[in-house]
Amino acid sequence: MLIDDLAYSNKLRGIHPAEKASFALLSMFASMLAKNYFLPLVIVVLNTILVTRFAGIKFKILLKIWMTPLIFGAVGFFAIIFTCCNPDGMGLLGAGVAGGEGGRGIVAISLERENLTFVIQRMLNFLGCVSSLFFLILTTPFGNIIHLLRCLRVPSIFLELVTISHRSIFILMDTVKLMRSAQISRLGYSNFHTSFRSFGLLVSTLLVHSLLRTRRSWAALLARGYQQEIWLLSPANCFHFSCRRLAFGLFIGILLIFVALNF
Amino acid sequence: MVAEVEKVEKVEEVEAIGKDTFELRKVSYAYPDGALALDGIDIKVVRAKRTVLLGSNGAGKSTLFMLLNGLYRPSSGKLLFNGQALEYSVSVLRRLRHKVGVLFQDPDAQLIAASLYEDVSFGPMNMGLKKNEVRERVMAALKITGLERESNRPVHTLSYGQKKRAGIAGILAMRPEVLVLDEPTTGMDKKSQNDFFELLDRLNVEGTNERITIILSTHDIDFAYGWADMVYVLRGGRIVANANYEQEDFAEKFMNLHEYDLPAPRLLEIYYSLRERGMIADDTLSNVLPRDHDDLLNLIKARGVQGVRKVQGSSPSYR
Repeated sequence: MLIDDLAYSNKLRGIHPAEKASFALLSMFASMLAKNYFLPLVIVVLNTILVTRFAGIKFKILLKIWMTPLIFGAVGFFAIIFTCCNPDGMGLLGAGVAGGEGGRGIVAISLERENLTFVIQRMLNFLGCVSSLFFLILTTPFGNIIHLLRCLRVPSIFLELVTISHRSIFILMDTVKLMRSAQISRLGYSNFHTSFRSFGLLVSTLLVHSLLRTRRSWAALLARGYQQEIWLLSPANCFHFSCRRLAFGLFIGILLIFVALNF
Repeated sequence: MVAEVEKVEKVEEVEAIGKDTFELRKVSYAYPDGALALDGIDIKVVRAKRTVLLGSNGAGKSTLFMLLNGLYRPSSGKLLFNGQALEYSVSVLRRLRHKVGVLFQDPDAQLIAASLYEDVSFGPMNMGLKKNEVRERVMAALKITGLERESNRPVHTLSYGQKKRAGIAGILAMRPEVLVLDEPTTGMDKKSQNDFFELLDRLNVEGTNERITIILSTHDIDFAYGWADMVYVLRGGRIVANANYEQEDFAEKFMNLHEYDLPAPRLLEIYYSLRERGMIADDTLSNVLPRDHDDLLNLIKARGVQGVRKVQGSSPSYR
């Protein structure tokens, strides 16, 4: 998976996850709280510079990763930009269904100026948050995030679920890839009809596979001495920790929050 | 309290030397649907020896291994570990699993953590060891399996052979007495296979503390012939044949494997064929049978040369 590969190969990997996470969280809160257009954009630019310039991830690749949240955001944007309103009082743009008494409209959707500014603000906040999140996950391997959460005493049941899900996703994806190729080589997905059939078969087989795999993994867990809780030990001293860098990150983050609250 | 437990375990270990690690007496196992997977199995696994379980797919090898780790419970018969009948209580099973490490066929089912180092730490952490001790064991296990440089890598980026070795590392970090390996080399390329066999040789000959008892299932006849101290042939849930390297009919039994739809070792076939044609001296000196490729070459070279004799019992290696 691209995100995971980058997290393991970028230049900021060795930096202590606490430093990166504290800055990412503060800038995420700042973008959430921002009441102007300017601040979230600054945060996006800041995080993009961190990811491309300092972590050494190519801008083109970053853009590719951005596509998913952008498409997701765009769909949301158009869904909430319009409001149902009184057919007689439409805003900037609107369309209604006529047919009421005396030729009046029954229902209408319209685009209001106030609503537009509100939605744009929310979208920018959203982009700011996503950029902060990307900074964290593109520079910090999954295992390090879990290590950090463990240090922060997050309940182990949560960490176990996340760890096992993370492992399973990769195994499941490999299985899907393999099964899909096998299906294609036997002329699955060759037309509309077979596509549906192949996909249905894939999903049902995957379920059976997952159940069998669960059974095997459970046996392996027991064999390795599992006792109701997954204890793992992270490698010692594998992070580079700098108080100055942490302080600088915290300072910038708090500054961003200050700006978000006051301007 | 802890010291006491350790002391008790030490005493048990001392007593156990010379005993069979595992002894199965008329063990049967039926699946919940009633299908009989194992039928009256009698097996002895001798301490510090290499036991190989031969059998085709579906013969019941994996089921048998599930029994050895207490994951399955025999439907009938008796399973003895270090001379004592296995009790299926939580504490006894826990101790058994500390001492018996199982490598399953599917390495993806075996590995659970995101990074290799963390995964290897799983077993020793479960044993309740101190962190320093865990770290030391993890590094030692990674070193002996040749995965030191991969310690920080995410598990899903490892190759198949590396995943298998990672599985072994996870077990070795628990310092078990017995290694149970379920078709460990299936799906590996030749190079990974050879690396793997070398690793097993290191474990069983030098050992970390002492020789580890290894039980291994395979359908690689050539490997079984070259490596095993004791071989059992499993077919349809029953033990149909066994061969002991210390006994004279070891090779003969291998030559009769076709009775159970298994091929004879190629090395032996070639050896007998060469001997028939007089390419290997048919005198008493050369009655020592070759165990690996090098042995065979030496026998051919030694033809007619007096006094050259392969010493039986030297540590066999399989290449």
